Amino acid sequence: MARGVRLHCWGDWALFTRPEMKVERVSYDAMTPSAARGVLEAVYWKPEIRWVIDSITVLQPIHFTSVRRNEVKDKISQDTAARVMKTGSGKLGITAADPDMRQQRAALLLREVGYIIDAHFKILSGPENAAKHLDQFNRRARRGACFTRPYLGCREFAAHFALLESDSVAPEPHESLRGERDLGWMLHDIDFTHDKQARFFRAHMRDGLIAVPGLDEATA
Amino acid sequence: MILQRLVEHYDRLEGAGEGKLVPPGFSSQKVSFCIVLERDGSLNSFSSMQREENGKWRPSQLALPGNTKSSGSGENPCFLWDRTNYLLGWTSDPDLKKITRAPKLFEAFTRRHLRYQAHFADARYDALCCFLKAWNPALVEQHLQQLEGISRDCGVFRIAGEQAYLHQLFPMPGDWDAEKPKSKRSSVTTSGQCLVTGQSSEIARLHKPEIKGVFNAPPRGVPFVSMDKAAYSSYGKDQSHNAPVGTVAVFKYANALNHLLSLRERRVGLGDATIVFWADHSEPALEDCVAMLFGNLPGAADEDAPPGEDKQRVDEARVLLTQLRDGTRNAPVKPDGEPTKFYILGLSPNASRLSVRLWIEASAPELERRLGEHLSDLALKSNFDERPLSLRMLANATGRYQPSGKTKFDPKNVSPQLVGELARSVLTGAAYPQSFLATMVRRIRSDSYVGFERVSAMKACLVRNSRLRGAPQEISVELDTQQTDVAYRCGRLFALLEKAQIAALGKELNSTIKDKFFAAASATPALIFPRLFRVNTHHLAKLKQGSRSFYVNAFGELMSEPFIFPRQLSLEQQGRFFIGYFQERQYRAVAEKTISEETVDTDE
Repeated sequence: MARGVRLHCWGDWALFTRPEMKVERVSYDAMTPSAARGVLEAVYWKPEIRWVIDSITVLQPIHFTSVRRNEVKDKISQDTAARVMKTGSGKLGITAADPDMRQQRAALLLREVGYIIDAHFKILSGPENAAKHLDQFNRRARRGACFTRPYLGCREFAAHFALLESDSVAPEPHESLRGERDLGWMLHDIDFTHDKQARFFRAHMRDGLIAVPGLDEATA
Repeated sequence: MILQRLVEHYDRLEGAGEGKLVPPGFSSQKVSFCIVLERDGSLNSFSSMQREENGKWRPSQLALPGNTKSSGSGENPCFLWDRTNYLLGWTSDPDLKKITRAPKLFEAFTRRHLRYQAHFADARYDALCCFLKAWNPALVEQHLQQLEGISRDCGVFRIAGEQAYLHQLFPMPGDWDAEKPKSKRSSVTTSGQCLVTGQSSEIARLHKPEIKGVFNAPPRGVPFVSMDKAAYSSYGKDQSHNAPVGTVAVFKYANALNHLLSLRERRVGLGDATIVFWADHSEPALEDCVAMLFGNLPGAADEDAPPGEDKQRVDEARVLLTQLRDGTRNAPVKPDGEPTKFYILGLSPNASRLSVRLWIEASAPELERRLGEHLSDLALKSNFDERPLSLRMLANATGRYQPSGKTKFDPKNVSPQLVGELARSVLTGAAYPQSFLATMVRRIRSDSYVGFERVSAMKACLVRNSRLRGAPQEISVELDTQQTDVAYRCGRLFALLEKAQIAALGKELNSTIKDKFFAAASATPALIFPRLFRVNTHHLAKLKQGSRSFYVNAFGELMSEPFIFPRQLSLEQQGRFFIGYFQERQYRAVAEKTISEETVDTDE
C-alpha cells in the first residue's frame, strides 16, 4: 500500500492494561491498536496525519508474570500547577516515599514480547503528499530516530524497533501461537471525537495475526 | 477475558438450573432468624435459620430481593427482609445511638410496607401489615430469650404452616427505591459500549455486589473493579466509567465469582492468594485433581455428601494423578467434540482492592499435560506411603524442620508468594521459581533434614530447569548406580560413610558425621571427604569381617569410575548431592534389613 508501513518492535516487558483492571493492572494478551498507534506516533507524527492500524502480528509466546510496585494515589492538581506557574516557585512533586501518598499496586504483565505492526496513515490536513510523510517515517525508523522513546503499554517498558522493508524477510510467529485463539473484546482505541469513549473490538488471533477493524466498525 | 469467562460461567450455571446462583434483582445475604406469623398477623414465634457447620452455628445464605444494604445513616428498608432494627425496632447492639435510632427505622419499614398493601391485596401480605401495625419495639422484652443468639444477621418472614417465605411469594415493586434522595440514586445513567459483551448498554457506575470470600480480604466484600483514588481515573472519567461494563454484565460476573468463592472445594488458599478454578463443562475428576494438587481434599467440606462418596472421589483423583504422572491418561472429550476448557483465577487482597495474581486458560488436555509434567518431574521413590505431594506441602518444606512441633515444618519462614508462584509454574509449564531450589538447599544445609518432600522438590527443579534450557538431564526416581555425575556420587558416598560409622559405633553416638560435616561436605567435598575417609578406616576396623568387606565392596563399586573430589559444588550440584544421599539411604534401608542398627527413621 502506498501509505502502509511495517514496524517490528520488541521488548523485555509489556503491559497493555485492561481498562477494567487498571488499578491492579492486568495486561491484555497482545498489543492493543492504541498502543501500536503510540509506538508509531513516537517515531513519526504530525498533526496533519493520523495513524490507522491494520494488523498486529504476535511473534513471541504469551507469558505473564506478576510484580508489585509502589505508586502514588493522587494527581497533581491543576490549581497547584497554575499557581506554581504564576509565582514561579513552589512544590509540585508527589513521590511514593511519602507514606500518605504511597499505594502498592500489583501488576500482571507480559514478558519477552515481540510484535509486527502493519499500519497506514490518513492525511487530515495540509497538502495530499503521502510520499513525503511515508518517506520521513521510513527514514526515521531506519536510523532509529524518535521524538520520545516508544513504549509497550506503559512508559517504563521501553520498546526497541526496526523497520521492516518491503523486501526483507519478516520474523515468523512462534509455533505455540499457531491456530486460532479468541482474545475476547479488546480495547481498540479512545474515541476523542465522542467524549473520549473507549471503543472495543472482537479480537481473533490466527497464527499470531490479529486483524484490526477500523474505528468506526468497532462502534457497537 | 476474566470478566467475560465469569459471565459465561454465570450463563452456564443459570442454564443448568444451579440452585445456589443468585437470580437478577436479588442478592445473597446472611439470614439468621425468621419471624413466623399467624394468618391473622399475630406473632407465632422466632425461629432460627442457622445451620451447623464444623461445630459452629452459621447463618444461611439466601437470595433476597434487592441489593445489599449500603452503609450510611439514611433510612433504606429492604423488601420483606432486614436486620432487627428495621424489623422489630430493637437492636442487640449496646451502642446508645443505635438503640435510639432503631424505633425510627422500624417506623420507616412499616410505612414503606404498608404503602404497598393495596398493591398486593393478598391475605398473607395483610397478615404482615397487621403484625407491623400492632408491633411495638417494647414487646421485644418478652421474646428476648427466643431472639438470643440468632438476632445478629438478617431476618425473613413466614406464615405459620407454610413453607415459602414471604419474600419468595411477592415480587419486589419496581419503585421500591423511589424514595431514595436524588444524590444517592445513580439517576444519571450513561450508556456506552460494554467491554464484556461488546453491546451498547447502560454502564454501571459502581460494581456491586462486592466480592466476598477472598482470604484476608475485608469480610464485608471488596469490589472487583473500582477506581477510588484520583490517580486511577483517566480521561476525566470517574469511578467505574473508566472501565465501561454494562450493569447486566456486572451483576453476572460478580455473582458468578461470589458463587465460586463460596464453594469450599473450588476455592483454595495458596500463600497470600485465593485461587478459584472452574471448567466450561462438568469435569469433576479433573477438577478434584487440581484441587488435590493445590492441597484441598475433594469433598472435605461438603457436608451434604455422605462420607462414602468423599472417599471415592479422593481415590478417583489419586488414580487420575497417577495416570497423569505416567502419561497413561486419555482425555475425555465433550459431546460437541471440543476439549473442555479450564479457567484458573488467583486473587489476592491489597488494601481495599483485589489484585489478580494468576489467570490461566487451558484446555483439559493441555492442563493434564502440564500437571503430568509436574508430577513426573516430582516423582521420587520412597520406602513409605507415597502420598501425592501437594503444592502446599512442597512450599511448607522450605520452612525449618521441627521434629517435635505442631507441624512438621515451621510455617513462619515460608514465603507467602512461593506457593502462588509454584502454582503458576505448574499450571503454565514454566520454570519453578528461582528461589525455590536455592531455599531448599539452604534449608537442608542449615537443619540437615533430607526428607522426601525436599528431595522431590529439588529433583523437580533440576529436571525442569535442564529441560527448559534445552539440555534435558534425567534424574531417576530411585538409586541409579550407573550415574556418573560427581556430585551425585559424593552424596551416595556420604550416605555409605555415615552408615559405616553407625554400624561400627552403635546407635548411642552423640553426633554422627552427618551432624558435623553434612553441610560442609555438600559445599566443599575436596576438603571434607579425605578427613571422612581417614576416620572411616577406624570405623571399618571395628566391624566384623563380613560387614567390613561389604563396605569395602560398596566403596569400590562407587569409585569404579575414578573422580577427583571437586573443590566446590554449585547450587545445582549440591541439589544432586542431596538427591544421591537420599536415594542411597532409601536403597540401603530396603536392601539391608538385616543390619539392626538401621535407623532411617529420620527420613519420614
